[in-house]
Amino acid sequence: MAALEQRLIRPLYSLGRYALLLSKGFTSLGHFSVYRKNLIVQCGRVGIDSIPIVALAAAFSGAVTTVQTAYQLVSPFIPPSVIGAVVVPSLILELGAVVTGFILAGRVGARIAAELGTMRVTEQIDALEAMGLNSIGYLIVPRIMAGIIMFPVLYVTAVLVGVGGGLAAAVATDVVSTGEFIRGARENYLVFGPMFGLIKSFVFGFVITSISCYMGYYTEGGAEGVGRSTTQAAVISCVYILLSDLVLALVLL
Amino acid sequence: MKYSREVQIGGSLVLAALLFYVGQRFFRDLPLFAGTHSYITVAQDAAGIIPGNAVRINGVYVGSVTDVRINEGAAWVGFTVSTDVRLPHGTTAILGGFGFVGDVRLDLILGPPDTTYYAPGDIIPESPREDMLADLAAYAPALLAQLDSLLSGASSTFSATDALLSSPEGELRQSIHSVGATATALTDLLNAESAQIGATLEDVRTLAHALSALAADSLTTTVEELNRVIAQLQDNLTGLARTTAALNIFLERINSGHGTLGKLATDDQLYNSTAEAAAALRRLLEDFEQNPRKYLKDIRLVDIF
Amino acid sequence: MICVENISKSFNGRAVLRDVSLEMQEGETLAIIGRSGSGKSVLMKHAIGLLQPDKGRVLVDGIDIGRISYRELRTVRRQFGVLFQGGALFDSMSAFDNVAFPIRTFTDSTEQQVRDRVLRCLDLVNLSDVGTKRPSELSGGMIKRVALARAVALEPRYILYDEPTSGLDPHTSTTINNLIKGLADQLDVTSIVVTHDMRSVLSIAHRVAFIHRTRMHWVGDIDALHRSEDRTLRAFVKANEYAIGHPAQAYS
Repeated sequence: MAALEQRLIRPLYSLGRYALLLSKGFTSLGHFSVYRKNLIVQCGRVGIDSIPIVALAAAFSGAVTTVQTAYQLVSPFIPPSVIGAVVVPSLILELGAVVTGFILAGRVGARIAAELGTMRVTEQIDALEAMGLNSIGYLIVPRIMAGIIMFPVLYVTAVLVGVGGGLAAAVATDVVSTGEFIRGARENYLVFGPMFGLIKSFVFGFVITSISCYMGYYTEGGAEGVGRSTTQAAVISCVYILLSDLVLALVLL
Repeated sequence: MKYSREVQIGGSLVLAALLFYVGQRFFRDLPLFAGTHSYITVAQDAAGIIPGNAVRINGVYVGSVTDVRINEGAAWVGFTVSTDVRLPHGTTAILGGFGFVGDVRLDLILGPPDTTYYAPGDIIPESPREDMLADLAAYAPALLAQLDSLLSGASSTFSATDALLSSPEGELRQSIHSVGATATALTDLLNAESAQIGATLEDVRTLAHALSALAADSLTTTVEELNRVIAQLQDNLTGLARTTAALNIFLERINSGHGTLGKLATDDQLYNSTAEAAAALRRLLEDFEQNPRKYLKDIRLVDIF
Repeated sequence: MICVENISKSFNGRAVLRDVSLEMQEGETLAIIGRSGSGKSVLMKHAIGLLQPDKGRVLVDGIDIGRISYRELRTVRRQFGVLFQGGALFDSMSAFDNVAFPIRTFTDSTEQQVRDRVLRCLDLVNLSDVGTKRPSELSGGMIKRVALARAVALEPRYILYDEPTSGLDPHTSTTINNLIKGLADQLDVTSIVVTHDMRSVLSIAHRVAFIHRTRMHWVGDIDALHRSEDRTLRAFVKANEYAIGHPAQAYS
């Protein structure tokens, strides 16, 4: 009975608490000036500071996709421009957003959960509340906004660097020329692709930051609890990135 | 610097937006900073075209398809063309290509250089299909033959009537009475028919005019107009055939010696009005005698399809 | 005046408070004592609505804070200053910014006015040269003093102290006790001190509330505490005196 309750009630309880957390955060916002500074700080941490690692990962996924596509499509009947036609849309539609999402789940999600978790167990969140401040609005809204605002920047970075990496790998391994690569990409280009990627990046930005905030905000049990929240934030963010990726693909494509 | 973080963030946002825009245009193979104009074409068969497919003129990429949807039972295909390409009236669109290799595209056939151009948002007509023209080409000669025979038939009947009416001194006078009550009807009939025959000729003129304008105007519009004219012509020809038949009956009755022409001979007014009607008819016929070949030759322009 | 009426609270099925009632008078210093885990801090957190009771209600100046909107609750909370157990300083900010935080957030002061006020508050807690330091660079006693300066920055009517002397050496504890006393006199505030440190209680409190095994066991003033024959209370006080080791000093 208890196990059943745990299985059925717990997820509903968590979902409800998550929804309440968000609604409380976004409905009782005070003056923007209170959050502005926080927003800038968070945008910096989520966005600017993540650019190098995102670029690195994107360059490699672009390069690897190119090399593997070339390896799989060795045939005199298939023009080499197909490599461009495969790599570029893959990056735009899927890899650009998802690779960035995974990196942010680890980098930003864990950080947010650790920050908020520590604030929770050291009563800093209580201190904010006791002052008469909306701690959710003050702590969570800027982080989520930062995720939504900055993730698209990282997405664009990832796609451009990824295409660059793919092209570089293609030219370096001498499987396709730059012109062929670009011609293939252009011929198979989908107008909706970048828009879809952009929509994904907004959603992922929201998913990662909001889940991590939830995990951190409701941390229980001291330093150990902070550790648990941090791990869960990263893992659950990744799972929900994959889930929302699938849902978006089903709904929008 | 106090605002360096803000500047970094703002800068990265602007840069990302810019790169997104430029990158998108780069892969769509559009000129990076020129604008585009949107047009629509309506097709029965969109041939599997999807947003993103190329729009070409003479094989040159000028834009892309942006939107495909079903509207009122036809496929509406929205596409953009870069602003430096202008589409003169008479431009038509062909949808097609090989879907299998992803090479479905929209080809624009530019109209003749003209002073007027389509405005952005206009509907560019679909190029007429070849089978439609073939139908027309097969149909036109038969129609013209029918017109020809009807006109020559009418012509001989009218000549006979004319001869009959213009020699009142003969035996005819005696039988003029036998025309009797039908004479008035004949006058009305002739008046009505002269207007209708005039209309028929007017149609031929319109047709000829439309055909001569063919080079300048949209092909589809012309074909539609031609169809309309032909349909109207057919109506008129039916009317003409009826008149001819009525006249034939009238002549037969006179020729069979019923002796009713007497009444026509004694009644001046009746005679004059009949003669007038006959004169009107004669003028029409003279017009026909002198010009029919010209008209018919114009009509035969249809054969070029 | 803060009035706690018959509140009960349990966490995960374990009762922490059972039918607890308490009145806190205007201007007094009330000490809530009891063993660790007896529910003292939980009771305090109910007073400002950080926790909602399962049963019963909390009235602040006659307003039932369980029945008002979150927005109104936040307004009520602005009359409180709270000193948390570990200080709860925001570790992303310097000591100065911690004290300035409520002033910047809730008043329209210019930066000069903020500065004056922060320095005045730090002066109240006998600190003047910690401004630019981060909480991680401060000692436990300093953290508590900075936190106290932050708690009084908006001139609250009520100050809540959660274990103000725990984890501090006796000398620093005395300093904090003196500060609590001094603030109560200078600012004319109502103070509620949650503690298990009897020395602290005896030196600062007017009245004492003793929570034992989740219930309000005993309430009375300091004189009554000395005279009380209640065995549980006496045992608690005695145990504490032994722990301190110098019971005589506590009464001096």
